[in-house]
Amino acid sequence: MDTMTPTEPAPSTANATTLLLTVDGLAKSFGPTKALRSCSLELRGGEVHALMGENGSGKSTLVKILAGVHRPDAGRIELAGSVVSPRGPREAIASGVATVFQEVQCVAQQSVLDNLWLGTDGVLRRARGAGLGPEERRARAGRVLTDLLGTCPDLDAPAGSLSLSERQAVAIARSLLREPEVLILDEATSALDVATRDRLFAACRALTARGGAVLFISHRMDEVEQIAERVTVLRSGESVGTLEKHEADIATLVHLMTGGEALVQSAAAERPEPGAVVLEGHGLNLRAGEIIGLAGLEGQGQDHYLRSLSKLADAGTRVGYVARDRREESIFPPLSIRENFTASTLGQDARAGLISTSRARARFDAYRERLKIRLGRDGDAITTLSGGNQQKVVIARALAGDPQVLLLNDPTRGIDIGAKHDVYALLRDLAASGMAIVMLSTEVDEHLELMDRVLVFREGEPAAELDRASLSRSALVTEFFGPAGAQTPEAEAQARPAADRGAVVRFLAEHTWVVPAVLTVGLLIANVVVQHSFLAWHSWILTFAELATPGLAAMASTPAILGGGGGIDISIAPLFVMVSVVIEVMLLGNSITSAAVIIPVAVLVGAAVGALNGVLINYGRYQAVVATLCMNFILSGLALGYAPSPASGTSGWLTSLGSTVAGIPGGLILLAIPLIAWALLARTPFVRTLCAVGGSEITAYTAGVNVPLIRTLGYTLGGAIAGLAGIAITAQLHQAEADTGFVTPFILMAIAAVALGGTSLGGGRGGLLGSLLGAAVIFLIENLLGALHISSFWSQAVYGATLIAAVLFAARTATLGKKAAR
Amino acid sequence: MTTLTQTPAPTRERGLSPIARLAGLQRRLPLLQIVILVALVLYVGNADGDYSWNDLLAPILLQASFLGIAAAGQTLVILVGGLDFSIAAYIVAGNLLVTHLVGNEHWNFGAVALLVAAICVAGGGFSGWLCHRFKLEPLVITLAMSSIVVGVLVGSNTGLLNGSGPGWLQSFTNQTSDTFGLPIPPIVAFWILLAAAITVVLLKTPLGRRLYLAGAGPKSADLAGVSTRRVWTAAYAASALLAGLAGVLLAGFSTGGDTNVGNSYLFPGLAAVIVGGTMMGGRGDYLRTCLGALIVTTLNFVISVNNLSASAANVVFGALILLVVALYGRERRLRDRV
Repeated sequence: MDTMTPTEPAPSTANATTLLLTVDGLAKSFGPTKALRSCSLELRGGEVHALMGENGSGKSTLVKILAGVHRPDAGRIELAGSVVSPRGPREAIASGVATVFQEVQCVAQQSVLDNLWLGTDGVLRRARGAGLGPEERRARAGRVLTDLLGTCPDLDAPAGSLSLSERQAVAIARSLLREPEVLILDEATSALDVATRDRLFAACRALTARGGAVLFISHRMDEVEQIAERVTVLRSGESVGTLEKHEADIATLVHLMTGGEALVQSAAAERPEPGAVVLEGHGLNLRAGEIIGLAGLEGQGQDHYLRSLSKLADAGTRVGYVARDRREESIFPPLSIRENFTASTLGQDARAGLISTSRARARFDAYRERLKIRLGRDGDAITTLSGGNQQKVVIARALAGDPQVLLLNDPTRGIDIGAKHDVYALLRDLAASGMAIVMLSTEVDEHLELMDRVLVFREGEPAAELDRASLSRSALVTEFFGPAGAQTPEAEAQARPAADRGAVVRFLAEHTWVVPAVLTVGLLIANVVVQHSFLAWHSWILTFAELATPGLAAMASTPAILGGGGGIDISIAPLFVMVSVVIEVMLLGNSITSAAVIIPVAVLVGAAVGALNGVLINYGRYQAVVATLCMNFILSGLALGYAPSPASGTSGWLTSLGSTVAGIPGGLILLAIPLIAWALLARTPFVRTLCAVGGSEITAYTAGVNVPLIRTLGYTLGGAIAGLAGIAITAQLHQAEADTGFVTPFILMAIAAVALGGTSLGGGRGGLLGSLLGAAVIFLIENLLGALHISSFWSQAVYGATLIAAVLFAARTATLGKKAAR
Repeated sequence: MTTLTQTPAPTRERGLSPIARLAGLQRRLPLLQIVILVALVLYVGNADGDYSWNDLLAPILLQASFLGIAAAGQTLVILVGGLDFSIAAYIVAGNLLVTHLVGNEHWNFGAVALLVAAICVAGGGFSGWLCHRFKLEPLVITLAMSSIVVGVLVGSNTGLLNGSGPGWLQSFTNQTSDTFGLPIPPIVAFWILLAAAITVVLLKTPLGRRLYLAGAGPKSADLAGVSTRRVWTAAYAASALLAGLAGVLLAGFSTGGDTNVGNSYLFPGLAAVIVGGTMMGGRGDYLRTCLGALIVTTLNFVISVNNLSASAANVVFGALILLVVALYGRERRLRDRV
């Protein structure tokens, strides 16, 4: 190693400047990967401080630690003189550190205004204080967004209807509204158009003028030059130095980032003449033996272009593809290294239909040497390897298919420098042996080092092609931005949809209860036509008594689903049966008949079981289906144990609840309770936050929402409503029945009703009213079939078909709604 | 400069505590399950004061064989990351069609078996395709499909409810029958062969490995050229087919057709899969499920020697699954998904 150590900022130089944030010796490992080894930096009040480093140097890990997402293994963070260790984003934000992450974070279904203030409020209470009244919120949100966007978009429009740049601006504005002392921008400019970026820089300067600091992470030298006063460089998880603005020229920075090693090696190394064209189209003639780079700013269409190339190839051409997101798109986490290698070429190891392990091992060993993959046993899980070795296994998998064309999507992202060089050497080798290679890269140096030709992308199209002779850093960066003024706001405006297109779909997606309401009215008419007595007053009483239990069960199932993340509670039906057993056996059976005891006990039992489900799922990290399935088992077992045969009994108020109370159908009263409660809750932040969590849990989490708590409360609320359903079934039948044949149809019905009610099973959109209407639809269908004297077995089949139709419809409107919003 | 090209070699498992080493072993072999099974069998034998083949082991094996066969399909579906709640319906379909068509209408058994297979493959395959194509919740779709299958079947012919299985099938599933002179009930021998076949397919054929790939990394699998939609369709079709097979066999064991016969295999079957150690997303195999089926069956015996009601079994299974999943099947933390 050479001894390039730039001047460390001596603490004594701080004369007028105050130290706002000090990071000292932070370290963090994920399994075998040391993401951050030792990172130290100092942020002065009033400065914009840039953080630079190659992919995988630990920038994102540092940001996540500062944002409270991860907790460091070692090291110390000081904020304005006191040590802080935030246990989550909420604490970090409260202490004055707000972070804007690389991925654009918005809840597409919710309004811009709600997105901006997401995470500010408590669970049931709105945050109060100066500038937090409803009118002030709107005014401040408008001001901050206007500062960023020049104009203010409609604050009540769903965030999903904005352009990418505008959504990123919303995410930045959310952080600015918290008035942080330290603002962290983690590649937050990549989705912004130039004008918005300049306005963001102005906002940053306003923040530093107040004495705050900005930690600015970007790949782009020009941005860093424009805004930053100092630059800290990270390499392989270590901070290797901090430079003052005047010291930070490109050469020095590159030197620091790469460890003094010239990445650009003898570019003159002989390259064989390219061979025949193997892939043609989209303005590209790919020849054998060539390496072509795809370059450009983030999100300019190069990703899509690369993937479309694999479809372009004709049937005879073998194409290998190495995906971008290693964890999600490349590896198979629980499987062995060998199996990760053989995934695309299973057939090659088969002898008489059976896979031979020794043959697979022999095949792998060849690549293992060639790619310098370091591993213990090839039967170990792939996750025991470091990122670089994992990526080598993935590349080996693609090579095993003996491709003529190899497509790589940023293959050196997040791997260490040694592995990078191994990959470069391999690619050169492969090209020399006649393979055609297209590689997307976000690192300018990779293009300079490797490529024969580089396509530069702007606004979704390959805008320029640079060949080896004209390839230089400045030429590339110039092409990134194109001729001055090419990136106009008009281009952005064009990308936005015509406002009225798909208006109906969007209306339906936002008002999910409309479709079930229309269905309910239609079915009511059909029922009356078949059975005129359906309209008589006494049959209304009966209808509400019979609808009460399924309606309540459907509403009880809704909050868990709204909270998203695979949330579902399939223990609602056994829960209300259990509650009815508690009422019959434990209370009425012991001559406790007072409504003042029975109703609170029923609701509390329900809420307690719901809360237990919520805790298991959100704190115990059980899959919702698994946890509530077990609860389903346990509750049915308990109910059957206490009431092996139906237990009967009633009391005066229960009997009248089964018919009318003060002239009002008892079922109607029971159904109204959760609807009213929900309407009251909708006036608190809770319902909005629950839907935000369901719409995008990551956005809600990083904005400071206590996601597990909100979801647990959703389950608790559902349990409490199930308690009411327990009262309803007891009032209707005057007995508790725990037979599985009785319980099981309700499980199906409740979920069917939620889906029919327009609530998206993925979460984030819907409500209790829709679920009630969904239950009404099912009830009316069944009633109609009964009136037509169709056997109960057939109505069971109709049930199933209705459910599938409802779920399909809900899924389709959700996707169509999303499309219309774009 | 050469120092730069060094990649950290993976840390070897050395100097690990005995507990950590046992945990590592448990991940590869279902040791805990074997210990639990042996303990439970000894407990039942001790309570009865009888360790004989006929009174202890044969009944356990016989009942476990039905559960094991019924849970085979669930294993496949859980491996690809789904869930099949229509198992009960296909058991009922197989059961009713055989008891009615063979018992009452005297159809050829082979023809009925083909009919059952066709219904199962079509229904199951459709569920799998639907769930994958439109990204629907498998739990909901399979529940709905089971409603449709049973509803249409029985709705179209209520005569299905009063048949009985053919005589040879009754002796095939009888505990006192033997298999070519061996004192093993034929159904148990059949189960052993089936388990061997399923295991070979899962572990040793490209088809089986694709199942694991699709479960372990759905996006990765699609990009690696494995059609996950085809895998899902096939897994659900196979699941329904195996459930139908269990239903056909049950036609000999239980007397007469019954629309509730499937319910006693759905939840316990799921318990068998999870207790055996197969988890959503490509971890586990069928032999683990067989162990799970034996454990669940023996637990039922434990409950009955203690004179506990059948409802107690439900509570025990629920708690047991929660316990096993807590050991090795939980979700990633929210912070790891940012």
